Amino acid sequence: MKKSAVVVVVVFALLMIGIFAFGGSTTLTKPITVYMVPKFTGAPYFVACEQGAMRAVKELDELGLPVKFHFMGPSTANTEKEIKMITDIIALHPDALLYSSNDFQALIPVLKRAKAAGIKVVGFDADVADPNARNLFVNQATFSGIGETLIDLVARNVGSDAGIAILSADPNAANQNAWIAAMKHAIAKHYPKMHIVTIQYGKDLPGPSFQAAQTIINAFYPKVKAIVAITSVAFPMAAQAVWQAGLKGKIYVVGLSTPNDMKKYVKNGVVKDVVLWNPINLGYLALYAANDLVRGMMISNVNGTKYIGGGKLGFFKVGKNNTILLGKPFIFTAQNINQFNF
Amino acid sequence: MRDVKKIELILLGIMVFVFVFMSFLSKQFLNVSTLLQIMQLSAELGIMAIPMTLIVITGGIDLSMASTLALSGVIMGYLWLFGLNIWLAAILAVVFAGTAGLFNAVMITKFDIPPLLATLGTWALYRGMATGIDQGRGVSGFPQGFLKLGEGTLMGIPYSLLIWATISIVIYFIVIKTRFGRYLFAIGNNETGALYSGVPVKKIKIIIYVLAGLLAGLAAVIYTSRVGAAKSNADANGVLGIVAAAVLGGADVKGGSGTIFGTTIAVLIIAFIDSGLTLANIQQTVQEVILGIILVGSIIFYEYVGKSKIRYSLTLQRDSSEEGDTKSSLPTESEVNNTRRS
Amino acid sequence: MIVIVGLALVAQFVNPFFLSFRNITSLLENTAVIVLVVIGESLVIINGFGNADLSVSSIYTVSAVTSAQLAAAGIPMFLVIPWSIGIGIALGALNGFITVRFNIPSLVTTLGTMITWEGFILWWTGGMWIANLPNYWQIGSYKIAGLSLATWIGFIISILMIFFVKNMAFFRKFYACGSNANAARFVGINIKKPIFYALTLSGMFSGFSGFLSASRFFSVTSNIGSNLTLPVVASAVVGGTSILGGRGKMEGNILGAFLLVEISSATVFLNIGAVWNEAFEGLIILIAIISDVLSEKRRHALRA
Repeated sequence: MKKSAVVVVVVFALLMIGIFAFGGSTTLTKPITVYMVPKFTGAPYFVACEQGAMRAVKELDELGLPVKFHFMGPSTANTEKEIKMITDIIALHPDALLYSSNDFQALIPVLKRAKAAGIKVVGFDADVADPNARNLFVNQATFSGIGETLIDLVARNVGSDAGIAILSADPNAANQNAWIAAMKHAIAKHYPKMHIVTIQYGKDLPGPSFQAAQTIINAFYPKVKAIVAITSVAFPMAAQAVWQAGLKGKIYVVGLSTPNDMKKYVKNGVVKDVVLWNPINLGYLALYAANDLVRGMMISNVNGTKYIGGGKLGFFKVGKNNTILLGKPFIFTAQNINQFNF
Repeated sequence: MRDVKKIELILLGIMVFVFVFMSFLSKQFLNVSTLLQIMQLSAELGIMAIPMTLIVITGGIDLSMASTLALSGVIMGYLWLFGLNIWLAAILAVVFAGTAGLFNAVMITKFDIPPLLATLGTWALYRGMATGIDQGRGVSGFPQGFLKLGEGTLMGIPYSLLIWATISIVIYFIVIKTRFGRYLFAIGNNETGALYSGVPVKKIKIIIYVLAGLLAGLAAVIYTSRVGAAKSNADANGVLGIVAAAVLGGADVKGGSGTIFGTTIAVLIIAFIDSGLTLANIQQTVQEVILGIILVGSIIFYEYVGKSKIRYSLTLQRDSSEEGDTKSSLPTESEVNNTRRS
Repeated sequence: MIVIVGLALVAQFVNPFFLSFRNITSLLENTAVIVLVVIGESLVIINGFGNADLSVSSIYTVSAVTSAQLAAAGIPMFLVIPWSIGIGIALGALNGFITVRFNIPSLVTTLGTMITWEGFILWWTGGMWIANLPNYWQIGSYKIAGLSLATWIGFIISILMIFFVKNMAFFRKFYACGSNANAARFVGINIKKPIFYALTLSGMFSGFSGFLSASRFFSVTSNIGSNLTLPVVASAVVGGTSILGGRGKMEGNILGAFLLVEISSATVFLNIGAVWNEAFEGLIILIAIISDVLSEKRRHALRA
């Protein structure tokens, strides 16, 4: 039923675009300025988001809808720096601001200020606690979706009564905490015999992540049969630690990371599954959403539900609290991982 | 010892230069409200850099201030969460921060632990305690009246700037005009000499480290109010900034020289460069390189230009031997090293 | 020292795997890759009050990243290793040059260079990781008698350093300058030279350690050396290097480095809720520092 609604909407939207194009509204061809502020610039994940956004920029350019795009962020995950950066960006009066927030609460005041200044505020990857602080949030996957996918994989591979260890980033990382909560929920609901032996924090740095993983293995194997590493930095390090300990195949390592980082480990069999979503699509969609909001296009209302256009990805339903969902978590395995390059 | 007047003038000149330069790079820089925003973001740093300057003048250092900020912020948040009135919680937080400073002071004066070491330990301990208490949850949702402190303005000038300016001016006069101020320099130039001359070294040290704690607590209140949330990772990289500000402001790490005015200008200079570069769309990584070069450059500069005619020969420092020195009447010249440092 | 053994016993009690072969080798390995940096750092600190090398983390990173890039481009190992040492020497010498030529406390110089190189490496790599490393890159993890090559190299060099520092006049000058710079000058020691050499050596060790550590992994990130400086300084100091200069034993450095590694490991074993790990580490460091200073005072009192 949803599919036919989408078709209707697409046709409708194409008509709208056609009308606008012929209407010759010159405001559409004036370039808009969009700033994209990731949590930090030093990670392939965010570089992938940037790539996606730039792809969207290119497409919009070809449609005659130019976008002046700037990708700027703190060099390391730092809330204070991000706040400062956004404060400065407000002074530049862009049309839209895309953000991935380092902190669930701390960015709310500055985002509200951006909104008050007339800037369209669109979040991606990591949101803030107050939906009123932004116009829209592009969610890559629901927290529960990620949590359940991970736990299901664990159960499938080491049994539903295994002891597992979780390797996270930082006790303050909002996304990670939400995933941990989702995992706990999934365990309670589906696999009550499974238990979390320990949760450790690798600070999203390779050295500490590796050491934490190594110590988890040293301290808790064989009580711990699986390590769930929920950051793109910790996951390869956990795999490395398992491999170096010679426990390939004995400890199931799963987590969230970009395929390029994990290819080696998938190839040598330490890792079977890599969970993620497509950050390129995430950036792409976020940029289209920003464009739509600023130019007031490709937004339609069907039976009281708002839909917003995401370029080649189609139309997305705007859900509760003004969020749109990119899709389901994606699992990379040995079969498909080589098709991806990010 | 450095020629303070000269340094202050130089810094003033640099600030003007930076100001002009930044306005060339970006027209938005000259906007009054933008400038006020930029300065407001530095208020916490500015407030903490003041006691740091005092401490550096005496030849010490306090690495724990940023952590004290985080810890007292968290304590304030949770006290409020448990039902205490927010202003009462804030006052208690500041008192607690003072106690934290007292702990440092006791270690330094009673146990004779070098300030670098003592505050190295408390830097980690306080931050860790903040993380442990908060467990990544954070406290937010403070009453509007409280948030006004960080956000509101009096006749257009933000409250935090007014507070910072007041503290600056008060401490400035204390340093210049009172005996206390002279004692600080005496301790920094020759602690044993000062001790034997009747300077209450221990008492003074306790005062400045407690002051550092108190002001860190105050900065915590302002920070939490501005950001709207109490988190354990507040101001994560603050230490570096505080030390850099004092150093850039002309305070000699070896002790014996420093100026409040200089430090305050230095904070502004750093803030202007930081934001100015962002407004000019220069990537953050480049900004860091520039900051590092400026820091090194300024020290080199001070060594050549900032020196005063009066020289003290301190046995433990590597002095560049300069001829034609005149001596003054302050105690000095211990050729034979019979200080504590054996 | 007491703290090391005491902590080990407590950890062992809570979780018997602490003293397992696997964990001990992990502890040794993690110690080995930073102990050289600690040694280099202590050589700088020995030179006197106000001296420290804060740029160790950045030099470590620059070396690790650039070496990885060379290897990824196909350059063979026997060229990459000298490069990592060479870049360390070069950056360390730069620190030394600025410190000596302009008479700036090394604490400040290295603060500036640390910020500069950190920013530089981020800009240079654009935040990307170096991932397509050839297999021969991973020599650090090659195992001999159960211990990785990185562990062996780290420990052998540090033991050699113990002997060098004790017996070479070259190093004795460091201590002389740290104890009493004027006296040193009177004896004819050019006090500018030791600090220059110390900073160069520190850079060399940082560079080599960066490579050594990174050679255990499949990929090298641009923030691999982040947050290295404070633990390194803490290790040196806990190991007996006096921040006032003039004192510090290399054996102490090894113990100090080991203690810090042990602390982070123990916090996991004790499973106290990882949110408290940092607080716990800070507390142990404080205790170690306080007990160290107190025992030093006792020693002095006895002597006097």
